[in-house]
Amino acid sequence: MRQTEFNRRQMMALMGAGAAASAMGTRATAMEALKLWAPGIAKVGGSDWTAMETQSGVSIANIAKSARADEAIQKMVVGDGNALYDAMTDNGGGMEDALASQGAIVELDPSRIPNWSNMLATYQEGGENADTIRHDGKVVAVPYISNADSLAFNHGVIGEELTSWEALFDSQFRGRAAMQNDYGPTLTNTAIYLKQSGKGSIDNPSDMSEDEVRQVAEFLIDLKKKGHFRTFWDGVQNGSDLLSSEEVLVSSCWEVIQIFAARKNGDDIRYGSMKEGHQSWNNVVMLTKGGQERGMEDAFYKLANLYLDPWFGSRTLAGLGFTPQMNGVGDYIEANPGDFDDDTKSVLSERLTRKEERLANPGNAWQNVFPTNIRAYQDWWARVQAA
Amino acid sequence: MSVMSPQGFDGLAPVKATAPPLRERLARGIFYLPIIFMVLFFALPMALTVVFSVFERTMFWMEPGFTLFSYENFFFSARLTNFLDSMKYSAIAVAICFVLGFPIAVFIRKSLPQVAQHRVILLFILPFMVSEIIRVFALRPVLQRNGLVNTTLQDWGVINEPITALLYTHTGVVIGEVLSFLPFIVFSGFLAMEAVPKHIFEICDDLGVGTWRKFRDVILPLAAPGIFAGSVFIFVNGLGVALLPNILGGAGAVNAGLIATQAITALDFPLAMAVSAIMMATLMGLLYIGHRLFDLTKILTPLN
Amino acid sequence: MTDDFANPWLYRLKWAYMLLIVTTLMAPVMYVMYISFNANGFGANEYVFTWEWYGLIFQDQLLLGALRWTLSLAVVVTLIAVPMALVSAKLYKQSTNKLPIVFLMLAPLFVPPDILGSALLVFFKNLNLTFAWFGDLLGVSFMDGWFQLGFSTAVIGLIIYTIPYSFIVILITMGRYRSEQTEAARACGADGWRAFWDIEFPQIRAGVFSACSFTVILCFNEYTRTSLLKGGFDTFTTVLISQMLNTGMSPQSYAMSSLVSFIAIAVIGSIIVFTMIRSDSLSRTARAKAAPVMST
Repeated sequence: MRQTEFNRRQMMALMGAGAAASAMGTRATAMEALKLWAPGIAKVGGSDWTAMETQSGVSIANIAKSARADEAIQKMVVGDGNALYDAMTDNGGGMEDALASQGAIVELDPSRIPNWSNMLATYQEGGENADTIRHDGKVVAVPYISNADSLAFNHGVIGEELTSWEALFDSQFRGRAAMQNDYGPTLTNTAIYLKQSGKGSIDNPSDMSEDEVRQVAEFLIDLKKKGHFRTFWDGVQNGSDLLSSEEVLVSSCWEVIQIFAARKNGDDIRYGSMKEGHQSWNNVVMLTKGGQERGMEDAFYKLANLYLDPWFGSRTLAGLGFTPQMNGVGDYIEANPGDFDDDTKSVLSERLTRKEERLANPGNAWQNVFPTNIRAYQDWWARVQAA
Repeated sequence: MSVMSPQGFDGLAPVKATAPPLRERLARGIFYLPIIFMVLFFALPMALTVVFSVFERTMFWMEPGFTLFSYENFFFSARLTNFLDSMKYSAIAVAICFVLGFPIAVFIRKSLPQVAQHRVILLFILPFMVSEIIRVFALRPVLQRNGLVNTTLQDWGVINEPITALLYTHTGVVIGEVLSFLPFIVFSGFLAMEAVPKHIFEICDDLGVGTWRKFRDVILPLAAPGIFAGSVFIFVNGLGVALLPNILGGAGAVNAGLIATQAITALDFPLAMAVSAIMMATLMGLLYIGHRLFDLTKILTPLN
Repeated sequence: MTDDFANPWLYRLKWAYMLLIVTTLMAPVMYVMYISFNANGFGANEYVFTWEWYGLIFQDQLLLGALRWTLSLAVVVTLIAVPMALVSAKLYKQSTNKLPIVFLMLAPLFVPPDILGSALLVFFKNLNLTFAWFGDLLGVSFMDGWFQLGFSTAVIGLIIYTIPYSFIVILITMGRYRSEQTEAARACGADGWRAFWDIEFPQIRAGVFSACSFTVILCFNEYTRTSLLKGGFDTFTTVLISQMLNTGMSPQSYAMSSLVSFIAIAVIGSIIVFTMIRSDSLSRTARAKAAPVMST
């Protein structure tokens, strides 16, 4: 409240009342807006939040989140994010536990979200991923996107479909391969490969022991010394630029990166299904303690309901390639031919099929934001970088 | 002599005889406000990093205690290698900046008419009009495998294979550092050349002294404090700005800034504070050496 | 003056070298301007000229909101930091022990952004805890929010970042001011403020204005410190970084960056042209006055 109020007063003073009045026009209701701390991937339907606002019936004041792992803790636990944000997004299956244990987010009442029953079965009570939106058995988060990350490859240059992580580490792509500049996903994906191919003895790629981390890191260090990796990417822009400029031919990355890279110059850049398994993850939206105290619950539940609506699911699938978190997306797309033409329809159904195939892989491991031996992850990652 | 000196006020006593001393004290206090501000919000927080660096790490924060674990973790891990590497490449960037940029400062000071000098210096501010992030990112299409440099050289027939060492390597980071920080050696060199009176050049010319000797024996000693300050600025920023290795560096280009950022990402606040303390110690060490060698207050001497 | 005028080719060569360096430094800026007119955006093989993105800037509430916050930060920081730098420069000139002042005012230049940002973040957190504890002790709560992350914490971070630049620029212009003028004014009965405002300030005005423009530019492009220390709002660069990491930068963002640099270049350009015209006429008058002596 304080921030928006300050904004208004200050603008009036700075730019003159006339200019401010016209500039503030559409934001006149900003006083009651839900302060949502989320990155751009949490919205669909245009470059700003207008479509999301219209569809949910809630006015949203978005604050851009860079979505680095530390950011949420920095602002919500170290800083005082509760005074700043009513709702926020982050990784499920890790961050929601951390934030709830620190009293930064509050328990939710699913009965206030009409679309809750339409949510994927995996999150419902007793489902496989039920714990990724719960803390101590209580619901604290609503999932809005998920995926199983895989390998993007330049099919146009390589000429064949890649189906194993083996390819990423194969000498034919020496100097033309990339992985993510984040110890979490990179060590996890490599661990999945080492485990399933029998090259390493790893029990749980999601939460490795110090010795297991060492094995994985040494494998990467060996490759790096041979000049195998062109670089480690950071963020969507960086990652898709590497693929679209043909700087690298294979890259372990998010699906949105592959989609953007393929769209950029029309190259045949594909997203494979790896037989060993993938790192899977989701993103969830949470109500902060401050948001509850300021009486923003109604607005939050309306927005959460939209996130579980096929309207959102179909659009995030089409635009950014994320997995919808509700049933009935296929039917919704069929029922709205005005929004999705025939070409898009076939792309989407193929994309969904591949997603289901990837998600069903028994070798998958959930992304763990706070593994037990986080220090070992960090220290060995520094050695990978120094190699 | 000065506005604020008590003598000055005393000298004017007849005019201001009835003015309350409170107002004067208040006025004098204002002059110390910035100093107080900087001590409170700059010197103190930086000093506190040393204290926090010996605290115990907790899951999300830290608690008071005494442990040298963070330092051990820095000095006996790959981080030290990364740090020393980044020092080396940062030093290379400083040398390149000096060679490319300092002659420009000499030229502006020495050969341009007084009125034109500051305007020409303004030219070097222009690149800062676009956010550094965008500027650094825009280097990628220039340096990458099929980027501007490689395609041009290939078209001219200079090379057959693209040079891949230009990007995602230490070289890439050095190029980024030179392009980001070069203006600062021009600025500080320009300031430093204030210390070299123009007539010295005329004397040298009369004596028929060669360019190299003129540079080594006359310009360098006089301009040394300013050059040193500019160099330290580039060196320290080369160590500390995480953005450059992040966008232009490859899998192995890591500097102190990135080590600290990654420690914070992993919520290891004591380690981040230790990196910061080590950076501060490096900086203070450099400034101390510089001060002993050149007396850094001389940088601003011509302005006194 | 020296050999340069004796050898015009060498002089021209030096000019050419300097302009080459400036052009190289400007290349990324020009490239951003170039792609801001590309319908296909950054990194595309095909170039199709368009004005579209510039039109879209003003429909993008996210960018416009961020731009407004960036401007207010820049204005507030300038209004505080430049007078502070001015006062410190005066203090520097009259004090005998100059080292501590120089150190405090210039040291922030040498502290990398990530390190200053996190040091301040941790410092504010501890200040908050201290004030809250102190407030509990006294039974009051008004101090609890003093150093909560928000506009003011971002302002503090940016003041520390920008003050060294203003300090140097103002000190340079002050170097040409002769303090005897102040003494003369004081002797004529002017108080300290009048002596400063009427006599000294007009002579250092150029430096103060340069310091202001420096500060605005620096605030505009700063990312690390702002992002760590800001509250619940966005600045232009924090939006850019979020886009870069999560969805890729939108073409409007390039257009916005270019627009800002077009404006900045126009401003600096007009300053150059304006001072050139002024100094030309000044030097003409000076030459006219000095002519009898000079003509030999």
